[in-house]
Amino acid sequence: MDGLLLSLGEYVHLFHYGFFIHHMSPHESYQLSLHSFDNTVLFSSRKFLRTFSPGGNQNQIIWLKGEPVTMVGRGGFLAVFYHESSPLVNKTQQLGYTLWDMADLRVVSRGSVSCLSRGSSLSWVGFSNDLSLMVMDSDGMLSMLFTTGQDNGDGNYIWEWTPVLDTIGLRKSSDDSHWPVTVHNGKLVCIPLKGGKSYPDANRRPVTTMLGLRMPFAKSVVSKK
Amino acid sequence: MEKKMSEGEEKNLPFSLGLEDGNETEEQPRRFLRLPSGYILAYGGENGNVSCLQTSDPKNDKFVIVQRYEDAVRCIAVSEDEKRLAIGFDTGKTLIYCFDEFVQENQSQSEKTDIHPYVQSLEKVQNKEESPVDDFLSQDCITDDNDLDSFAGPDLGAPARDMLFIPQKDSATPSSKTYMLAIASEAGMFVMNVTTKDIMDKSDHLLEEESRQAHDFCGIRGFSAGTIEARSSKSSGSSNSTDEVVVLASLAMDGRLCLWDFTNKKLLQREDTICVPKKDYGEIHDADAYDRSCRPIAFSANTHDGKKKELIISTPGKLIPCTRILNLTTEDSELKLSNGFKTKDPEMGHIQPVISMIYCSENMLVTSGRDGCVLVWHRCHFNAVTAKESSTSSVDDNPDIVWDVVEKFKSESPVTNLIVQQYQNTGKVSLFCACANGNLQIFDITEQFQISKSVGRKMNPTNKKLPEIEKNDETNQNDNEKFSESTITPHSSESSSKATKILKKGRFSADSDEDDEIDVPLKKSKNVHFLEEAEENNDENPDDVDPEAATSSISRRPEESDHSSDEEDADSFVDHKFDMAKQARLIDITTPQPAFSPSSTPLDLERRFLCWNHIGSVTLLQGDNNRNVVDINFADSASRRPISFTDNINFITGSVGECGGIFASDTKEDDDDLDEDIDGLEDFNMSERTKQAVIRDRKKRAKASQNLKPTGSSIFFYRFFTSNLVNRKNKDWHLVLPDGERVLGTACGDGWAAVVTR
Repeated sequence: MDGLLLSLGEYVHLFHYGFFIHHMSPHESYQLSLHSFDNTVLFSSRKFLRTFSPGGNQNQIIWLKGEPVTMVGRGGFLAVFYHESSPLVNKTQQLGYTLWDMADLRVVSRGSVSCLSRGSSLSWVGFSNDLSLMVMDSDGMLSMLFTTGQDNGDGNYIWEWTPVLDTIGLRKSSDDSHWPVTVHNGKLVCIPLKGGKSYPDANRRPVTTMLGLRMPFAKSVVSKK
Repeated sequence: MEKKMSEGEEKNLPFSLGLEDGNETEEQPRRFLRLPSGYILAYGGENGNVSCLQTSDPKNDKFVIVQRYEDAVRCIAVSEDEKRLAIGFDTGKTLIYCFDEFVQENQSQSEKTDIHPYVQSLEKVQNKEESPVDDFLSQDCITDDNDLDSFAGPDLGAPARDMLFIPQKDSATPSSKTYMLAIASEAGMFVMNVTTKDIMDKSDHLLEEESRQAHDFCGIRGFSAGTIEARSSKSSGSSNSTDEVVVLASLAMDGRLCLWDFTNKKLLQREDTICVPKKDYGEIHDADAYDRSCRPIAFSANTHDGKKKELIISTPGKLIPCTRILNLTTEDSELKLSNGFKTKDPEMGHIQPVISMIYCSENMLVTSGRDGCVLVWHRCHFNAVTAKESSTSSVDDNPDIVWDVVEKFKSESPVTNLIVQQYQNTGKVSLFCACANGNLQIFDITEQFQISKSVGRKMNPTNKKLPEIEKNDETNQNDNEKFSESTITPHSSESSSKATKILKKGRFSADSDEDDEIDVPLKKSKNVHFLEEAEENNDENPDDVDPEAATSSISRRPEESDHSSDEEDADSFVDHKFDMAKQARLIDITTPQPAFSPSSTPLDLERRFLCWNHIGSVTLLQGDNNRNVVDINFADSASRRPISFTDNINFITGSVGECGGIFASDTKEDDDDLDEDIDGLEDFNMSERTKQAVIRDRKKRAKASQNLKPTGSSIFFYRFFTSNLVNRKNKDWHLVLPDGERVLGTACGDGWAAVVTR
């Protein structure tokens, strides 16, 4: 037992040869008995965000506002998406997001993922190289989180979602789709999929393509003479 | 199949309550009121419109505006004989209508009933049958000659919240009839006589001061009332002597419920604890529509001797209804109050608090919540064996009596009020939901209603009493329709046939296929467990009906279903647990999307992408003996060489960032499959039983050695060599989460790593 004993709240960790061994507290065992009533799947009721340092130290543990859906990080920012409530009858998912600055675990923005098309769900999230949060819904609409620069009265900025690319118009056939990878320099780096495929084959390295972001502005009716 | 689904979806399409003139969808408490003559009024919103379900013309199947007011209507109440109708506005003003000339159908004995003066505008729509201009598009049928006898009621000084005419004894003669109106506002409550303007001016504000004290000077959200048998105070020596008293339940804006004996003008009970946790700050402080929709409901439960000895009072505001059973006839104490809402499953109920409720019968309750769900509850016995033994007990005294969700509907907007409509000639029962955004949604609850009737029948002690109890049920319904909207009012055959046509040809469905779908429940409704239909069946086809079958237990249902309809699966006629039916119907509910990792491919592939982002792609190749291979190929391949390492803990998710890659496995579940490790024992020529014993022993020892090891997800961090400060030996780390905690997502950035768990 020649290790370093760390204490973090009710958790006790034993640091030994670069590994953490986690010991369950009595409280956790009680929780286990509470949640294992169905005897089939052992689920915890916890919806935690656990943060770590690259060296393995456990930092903050935060309750999420809802059941987690996905998360993405880049640079100093982390975005977590979660269910805000049950989906609507038209199958639109009701999701929320929280964007943290991980340097001091400060909440930069928090709100609803209002950029999901009617009846769609979230299919991809990512950061662009300028650290803008991007999401794509199952309808192929790519949206970006931006701040209006207005103060909402309590010292925080107002954040909104804006559509930046509708990939449906870029499909050559109804079977085609785009599998996003990242957004770089105002272009969506993605893998074009054909023949009704919904994901690329990992056995061969897929070829990526880049689609320039284009907001869905209305076409002007004034024509040149 | 697709067609059927589309029909079902179409059937649940919302349409307008006709309360908004434009396209405003501001969330407001929308409410229904059923006039005893059968008309259903809808009100609420900011426009001061009152609409009525137009049932006379199948082409104009909609709520049409029958009255318009300058101020927003917040509450309407109607007396039992429909000769008084009171309206409360958001300004605090009230209006009392007098319809002394109006005679109800059963009193006139005439075949044709006059339309109630308050909804006489409907005649305009009916008369336009011959020239159907664009009235279908319009929901306004206001006539200019709207000259009704009315007088201004008391000015409340605060937004009105609820009104209720106190039920009267049937013995009251028309000349001696008084109309006592209970009025709730954000300033308080009182009861006054509103028979005429003169009487009202001289009338005292009854219970006003008492309610202020009991409710701590809070405003009142709403009322409900019911009659109940109480021990007679005059003849205390005789224990059997009872009087009928009117009990009024008032729910304050702070969430406290008080019960009043209106007959004796005294407080019965002031609850110590708050039953609605979320306070209602009132309309003037911009409380939301759902807070303002919470009202108590009362349901008179008949006992077997036909007397109303118990009054069920329920309140919303929590994840399940909060229910009390009031009994004033017990000898040991004057007031017996018990909580009686136990659910079959502790996790059953709404995700967000209940807004509105409605008792369809003693055994069936419908609730709507802030989560947009509408749940249909049935009262059943948790243990079927004890059902017979408990049948003689009180309404909910028996601990085996629980409530079970048998149907779950989803509305586009949370429902602020509910009302049930039964079509007498077809047996169809529809649930009308007033959505906060001004839409109306209708759900078919015919099957649930029939099953609840059957459950109620099963709980009756003897078969002989059945007809009497059925009669009592009807009486009970009639009583409750007087007091609240929470019961089913059978319509006249004329109106019900028209209403059925609405459901067939309205916006729910325009094609004739809908008729087929409606026919099925109609056929089903004529089953012998539904006494009224059983009698109808008896007339039509005497051979099909066994008189004993009407009183038999539900277990006989499958055999009967073979007679009645081949289309109906026998499993749909289940016992009181309803599990099959419940599971089958819950499939239609849209489920929340599952967790996923961005830019990853499905778990079941032999080689899959764990992650692909600006750093690079991570693939996982599944190998034998839980030895998988993880490959990291960097986007900047010119300066960073690929990384490959072995995964022996079965990663299911992973991500790479600037400082490294974080990977996580699934939870470690106990593996009870004893055949898994049997390969090593093949050479010993053991019997199968011996092999199992050896494996069990091996597992037992392994378990004992790992007793302290948690079984949550394992997390592994592969740290990139980004600087010389990174210790090459201890750069990676691994930890195991507490029991049952599963990693659903991973992310990594510059100087941090994170996981989300469940």
